[in-house]
Amino acid sequence: MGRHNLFEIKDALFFYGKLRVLAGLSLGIDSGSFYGIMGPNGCGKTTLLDLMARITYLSPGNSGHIKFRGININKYSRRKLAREIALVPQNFYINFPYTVDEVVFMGRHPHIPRFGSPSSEDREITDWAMRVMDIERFRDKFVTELSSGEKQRVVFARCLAQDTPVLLLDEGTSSMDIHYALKLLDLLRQGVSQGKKTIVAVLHDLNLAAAFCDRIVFMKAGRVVASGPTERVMTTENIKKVFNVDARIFHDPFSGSMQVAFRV
Amino acid sequence: MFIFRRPGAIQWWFLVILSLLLLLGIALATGIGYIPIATVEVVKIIVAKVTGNTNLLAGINQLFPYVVWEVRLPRILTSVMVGAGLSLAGVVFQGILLNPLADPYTLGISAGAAFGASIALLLNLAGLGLYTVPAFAFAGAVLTLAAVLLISSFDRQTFSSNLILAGIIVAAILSAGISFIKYLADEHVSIIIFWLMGSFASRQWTDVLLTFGFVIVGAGTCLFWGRDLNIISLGDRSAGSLGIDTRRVRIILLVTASLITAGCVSVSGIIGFVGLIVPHLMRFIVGPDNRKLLPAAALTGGMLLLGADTITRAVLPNDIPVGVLTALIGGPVFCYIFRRQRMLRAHGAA
Repeated sequence: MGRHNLFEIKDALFFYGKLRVLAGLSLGIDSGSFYGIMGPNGCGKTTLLDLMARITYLSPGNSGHIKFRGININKYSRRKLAREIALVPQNFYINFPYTVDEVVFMGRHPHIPRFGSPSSEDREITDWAMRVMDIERFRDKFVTELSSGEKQRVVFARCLAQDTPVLLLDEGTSSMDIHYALKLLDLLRQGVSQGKKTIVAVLHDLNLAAAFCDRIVFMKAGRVVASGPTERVMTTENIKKVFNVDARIFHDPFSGSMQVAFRV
Repeated sequence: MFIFRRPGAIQWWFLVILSLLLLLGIALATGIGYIPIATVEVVKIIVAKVTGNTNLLAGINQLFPYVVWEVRLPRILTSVMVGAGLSLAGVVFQGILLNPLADPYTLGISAGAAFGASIALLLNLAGLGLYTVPAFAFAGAVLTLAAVLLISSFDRQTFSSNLILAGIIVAAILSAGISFIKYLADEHVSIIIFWLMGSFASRQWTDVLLTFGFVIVGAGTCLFWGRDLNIISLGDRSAGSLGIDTRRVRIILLVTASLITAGCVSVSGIIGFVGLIVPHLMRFIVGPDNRKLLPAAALTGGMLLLGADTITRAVLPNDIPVGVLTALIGGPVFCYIFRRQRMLRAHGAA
């Protein structure tokens, strides 16, 4: 067992064709925290989440490994992993006219046996997920008819219905308006505070990250540049190093959290 | 169009109605032809043949049982099975390619089957007796599938779109190959051309059983993975995180759908647009859930091809190939649906 009880990623290498996306990345994730992963475009954030959800695998000939709860992640069955980890992908694209209800209910897939019927609990969790995401009123609408922000709420509800202790977000709030983005992050924050969830979120908005995340991981060029508690890692120097912008960091009494102001 | 859709109740009664309509259609179509036979007599003959109760045949023209049982029914049931099979394959290919407008032919599978069968016809092979052409069609389909998968599998991320591209390329090469075979096939050329156009003329009970085997086993496999196929339509990343081994399910279903296609093509030649239009239309009526869509498409596809074949057999002169009819009718219908859907989408987005 490593020091980190949830994920232990060690010397991860990942090549996309000849392009090196992850360059020996090491990172530990503990349960019960809200992690924000930040970094410039193309620094490997999405690949990192894909590896953690085992959508993709470490490139062959890798000396590194990924452990989940102390066991190599490749040892888990897909179904078991799907009851532990849910992923909100960056893009959601569906070409078939499923209803909102049908899509959210698909989140229950790993919990329903192949020839079993859904239980009343499956139904209740689906309804709850649609309620908290405020999409109940268009549950019978086709997902193909929704706006991108509404679709993102549907995907989110699906991942909540999946009811996993770990939730990976790949810019899960990028198409939502600020009302829903805050509502959602707050909901996740509560889940973390109650000790029910661990969130690993790729976020672009430094201020949202400062307000909601316990811990920040700064990435650049396939490596972790800095990682730790938000108040310690969210510094002018780190932001300069990672994004190459000048920033000032201050405590904002209105929101009650750290905020970042920029100058080009 | 979505009358049966909302509010999401399962339309099992719709499947029951489709089944009854199909049975009725079979009975009616069997009576139609050069020698008209009353539907009641058709049913009596079928029941008598199945149960062995010859008393039922009393008062029926002695020629009729032969016409019904040996001439018409094999052809009719083959057309129903092929229609069902092509539609099933269509549903699966569309579901896997994440494209409602894809069809069994986009992957080049039927071109592969046709190429294999053309070789058997060209060389006039008969090593496996009646099963020579099906066996070659089958080998052609499977080799084509393997080639298409091999070409497209270099990159997992773009696997789906690569499949279509690889299918089109392979189909183009195979079409050239078929043309070359036709060029070589002096005296056999009419057999090959007629077979390629798609026809159910002079089908026998062996053909019925052959397609029946392919379609039933295929349908069972597809239904078994129906829920997984639903979730694959959310995209690979979502499906993967929901516990689906997308690559494995995809390969199982692609092989199954290819086998169904090969089974159908080998007895009927190339019959286009059934596998394209039927799944598309049924998705409007029962929705995209494959557990309902697969049976609904199979039943409707069977009915559609039964209808088309009955028209070519009994209404049109000279028994023109049914593949020509389905393409002539199906093509424009498809254009209409395609255009309407694009327009709806354009307006919906505005």
